Amino acid sequence: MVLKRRAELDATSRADDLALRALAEIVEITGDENVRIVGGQMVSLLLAAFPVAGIAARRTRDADAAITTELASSGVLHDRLVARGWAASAGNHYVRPVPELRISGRVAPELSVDLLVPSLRDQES
Amino acid sequence: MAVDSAAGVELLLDVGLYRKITGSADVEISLDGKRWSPRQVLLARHSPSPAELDRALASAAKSRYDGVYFVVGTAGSALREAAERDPRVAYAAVDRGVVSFLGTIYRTGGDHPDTTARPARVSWTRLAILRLCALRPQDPLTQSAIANRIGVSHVAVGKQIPALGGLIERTPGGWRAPDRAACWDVFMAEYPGPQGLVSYFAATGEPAEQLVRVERAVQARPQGQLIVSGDFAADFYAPWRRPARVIGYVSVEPPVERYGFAAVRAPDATVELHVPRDPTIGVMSRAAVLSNGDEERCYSDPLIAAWDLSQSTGGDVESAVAELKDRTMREILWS
Repeated sequence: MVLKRRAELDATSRADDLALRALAEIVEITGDENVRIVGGQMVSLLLAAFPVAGIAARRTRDADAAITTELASSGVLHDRLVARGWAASAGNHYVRPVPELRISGRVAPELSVDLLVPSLRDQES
Repeated sequence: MAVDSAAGVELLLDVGLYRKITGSADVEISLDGKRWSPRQVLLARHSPSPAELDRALASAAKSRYDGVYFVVGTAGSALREAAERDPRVAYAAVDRGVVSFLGTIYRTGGDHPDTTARPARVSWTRLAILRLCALRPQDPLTQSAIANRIGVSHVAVGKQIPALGGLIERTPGGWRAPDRAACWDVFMAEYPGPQGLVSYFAATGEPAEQLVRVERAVQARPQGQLIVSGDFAADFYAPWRRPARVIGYVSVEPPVERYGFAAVRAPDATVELHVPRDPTIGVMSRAAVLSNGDEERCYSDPLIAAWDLSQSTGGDVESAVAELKDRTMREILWS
């Protein structure tokens, strides 16, 4: 069963701003693939859609996207991310600087996303 | 567990009295919220002797205080008897959850953990030098330049440099830290917190909006300034997680109740305001604007922000502190 909810999230901090931009970009880049938003962003979205009294949404700047091994090995997402100005910084971790959020005299903050692939170790052992 | 002044002052609320924090060791106490008695807060390792009580009262009488407010683990007979007969003597016995004020004993309902009063000596100068060394990748600094940046005398700096061991080294141009990350780690391990007094408040609404209201309350006083730390300072220096609690430093507790805040216990707080004993926090804070058109805001330096952040709750605390440290090592976040 698939439930759909529409919710509005306000960015009230720089971390929020980066988190929501990362989320928006990764959704746009992966929208036609079998990809799921997981981790803190997933919890934040679920709490926005289904609020729970006494639990405040905590978001971190990064986005985690769960992808299949087939998608990972195809290199499709890597190519799309690189084409949009993202750079692979370590393993499946990608970053993209956001000059418009730069504070004078500082390095521009970065969007970041981790592409997570299921481990096959348990099936092999 | 160690007793600190803040625990003794917090106890006033727990026993049903009113209190206003007016300095890092100054509090005003009231039975009814109308008539206030200014007291000097004295943290004592042991319950004071009669002679120590006399000296404390004589010292307080030279200032504008009505008397003293001792914070001890357990009150000894000299302190209990003095508080019974002399309205100038008040105390908090934190282990028992007891306050004596104007000759009357007030008790909390709950249990209090066994604690030990440990008014340890802290070298704020040494800790500030560590922060400065962690923050500055630039040229070496002379002893006078270090003193100037942390707001102490060069003699005080000279006394503390030997205590830093191999963390800083002398070069022809002055002192420099060969390993800035080590200075960060030592500071984070050894900093005892800002000490002084702290008050906790809660309100509804987004934390960012609460911060604006606290700023208004602080600025309503002449020369009032809020130094923003913790989550919000980290969001300025190295955005990582969504701020959840306002932590700030002030010289006098502002009247935030008029701006929709209620005084609460620490676990329920959304706002935490410190009147710090550490004198270097203000000197090393910096004003900045987030973007064009924004109002200027004053932030604690990145290490004080990191320490406050490290005391907060949440599964992402370690990564938020690590992000701030990483940015501090890679960029010039403070000068």
